[in-house]
Amino acid sequence: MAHGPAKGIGRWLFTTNHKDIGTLYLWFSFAMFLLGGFFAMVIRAELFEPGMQIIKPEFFNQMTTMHGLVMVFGAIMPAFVGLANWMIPMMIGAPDMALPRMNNLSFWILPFAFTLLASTLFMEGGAPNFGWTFYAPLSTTYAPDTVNYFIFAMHIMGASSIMGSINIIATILNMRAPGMTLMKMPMFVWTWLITAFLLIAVMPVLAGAVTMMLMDINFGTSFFNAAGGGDPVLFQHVFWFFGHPEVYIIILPAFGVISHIIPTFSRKPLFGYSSMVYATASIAFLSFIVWAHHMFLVGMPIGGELYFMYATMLIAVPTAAKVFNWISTMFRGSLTFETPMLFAIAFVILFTIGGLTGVMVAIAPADVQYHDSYFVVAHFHYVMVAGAVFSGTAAVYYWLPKWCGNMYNESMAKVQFWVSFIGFNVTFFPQHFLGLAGMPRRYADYALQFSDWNMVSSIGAFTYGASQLLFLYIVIQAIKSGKPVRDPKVWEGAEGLEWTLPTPVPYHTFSTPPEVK
Amino acid sequence: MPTNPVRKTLVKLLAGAAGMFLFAIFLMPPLYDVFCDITGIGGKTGGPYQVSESGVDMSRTVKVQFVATNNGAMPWEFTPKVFEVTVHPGEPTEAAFFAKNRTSRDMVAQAIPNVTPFNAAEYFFLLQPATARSGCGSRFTTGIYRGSRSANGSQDDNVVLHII
Repeated sequence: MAHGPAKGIGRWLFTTNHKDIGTLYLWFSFAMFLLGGFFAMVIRAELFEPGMQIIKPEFFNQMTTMHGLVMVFGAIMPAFVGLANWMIPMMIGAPDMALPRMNNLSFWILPFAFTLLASTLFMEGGAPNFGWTFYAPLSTTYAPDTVNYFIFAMHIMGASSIMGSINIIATILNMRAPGMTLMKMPMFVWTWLITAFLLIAVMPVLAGAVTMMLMDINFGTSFFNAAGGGDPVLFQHVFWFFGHPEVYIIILPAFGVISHIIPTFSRKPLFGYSSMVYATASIAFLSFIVWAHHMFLVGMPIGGELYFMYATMLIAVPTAAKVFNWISTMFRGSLTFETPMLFAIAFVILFTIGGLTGVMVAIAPADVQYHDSYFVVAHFHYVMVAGAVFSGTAAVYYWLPKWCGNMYNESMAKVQFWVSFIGFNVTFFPQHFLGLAGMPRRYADYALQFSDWNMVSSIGAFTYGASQLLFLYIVIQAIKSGKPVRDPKVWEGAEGLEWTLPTPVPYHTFSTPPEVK
Repeated sequence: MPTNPVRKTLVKLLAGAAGMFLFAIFLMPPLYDVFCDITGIGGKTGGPYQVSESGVDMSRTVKVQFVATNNGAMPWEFTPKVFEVTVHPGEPTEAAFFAKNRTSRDMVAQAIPNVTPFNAAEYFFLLQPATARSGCGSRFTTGIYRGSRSANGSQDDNVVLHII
């Protein structure tokens, strides 16, 4: 029965092992993270000084669009699917994912989607240049011809996400070890269960939006074309009906990761487990009924503006419950500050800053000032980078020794944490000031009064970018020649089924299900 | 329904995903139209013209501008006869558009009116749709402007009717 992995490239191409597929997802997402990061470096290099120095404005637009698309769909989402593949079966005591062959398929179509998307950079007309939100008619009537490649790439990526989510739900609902009731599931499993339902609900809506674009562009329909009786604003409604839950799809698994790391290094169980579950579910529900707060300036009736404003501010309540629970978990705990914990604490602080600026932009009358300014850019990078990316980094440091049986270099990792923490804040904190002073987003150039903070922001961005190369080095060094760890628990305070397995984790685990009391 | 519980979950979830896809394409656009009708946004003009008695407010004038745009694939010539009228609120006024079929085929065209600001839309009505034979020029009357008794002051003093 027990046999090891196959040899050579075939192991990776044909694998149905959840650990192999998790590894593939994680490496793929890191490659996309570097690609999207490279696009960001091009953007910040151009914005280092006012005036046009390095690239042309048309190419700048392609860079902002590709940066957003690659980071959201290529880096963050696959990273958390990778963590889910690795950890969920081990956390619930299952031998593998419920649908292992579909698992292989859902990973292996992703590289095709992103090769297709990236190939548009080398085509006549250039890559998509209409922003990652691809508003019609900019993405239909006025789009470069390569938009069809973009649409096809989104379809493949969406199919991959839907298959991944179906797999996760089927695994969690059907393959838990005997005795593991829903309310005994680890938080990471809970947040992923809810995220997977969100994905199944809204990825098809995204597919619908790009399908309607495809028809408008190639088959003469007029969904988003006012000249045929359609409405461009409809696009924004459909897009944000997908787009707002998407925000929580990105952040909920991150909440799950943090809910494991903080108890481990506080040596206390998670404070308020059931309130965490209910808060996650309420956030997921609310995410469906607040989408138009992204569109306060399209000309909604005043009643609509008020409704979307109040509903949005309501989300602050369950989110704050989570933040208070993390703080209460640390309160009077016996804390140590290993690198995963540093990233987790930075997550709590920086995500809260991003959440509070979120409440600011949710106020409809104030949003007239903030809308489409760098304030919004600062806001969503605080939640996406300091939220999702910091938590993903924390997760890798936390679980890497378990996966490969080698410890990373703690002092180098601490350096990496501080460089990225400082680099991140130097990049994005000044963007709040730029936005409040009136600098609009998505422009290749800016007025002279914005010069100083833009230069500071660019220096921060290069620092943050460099810290990610250091992260790559630390991970490779740990895998190749890190100090071996053989303690199943790895961390003194770690709790859960995954820590009962030997370190490094064998290729096949829980072939006989464990008993959960 | 398959008996294997994993298959069961798979079928249910796939059906859910397909349902959401159909919802996005076939239900969201009509729902959006209904929403626009109820809230009066979107600038779409009203139904058939009905005479309603209203006094003419001679003390105020409203300037209405007309714009005509062709769909990218449309070969017709299409333009307003008059680009701008100044009327008193409550005073019925007709505006005509000129359309010419430049192709050698007979065609039926559809013109879609749209008004900004949105709350002026309820004062515009289509009088008569038109078809044009090949090569013929057709003058069709597209709108009648009923000045707004209830229009709220200066906000409506500049109205643009786009015909596309």
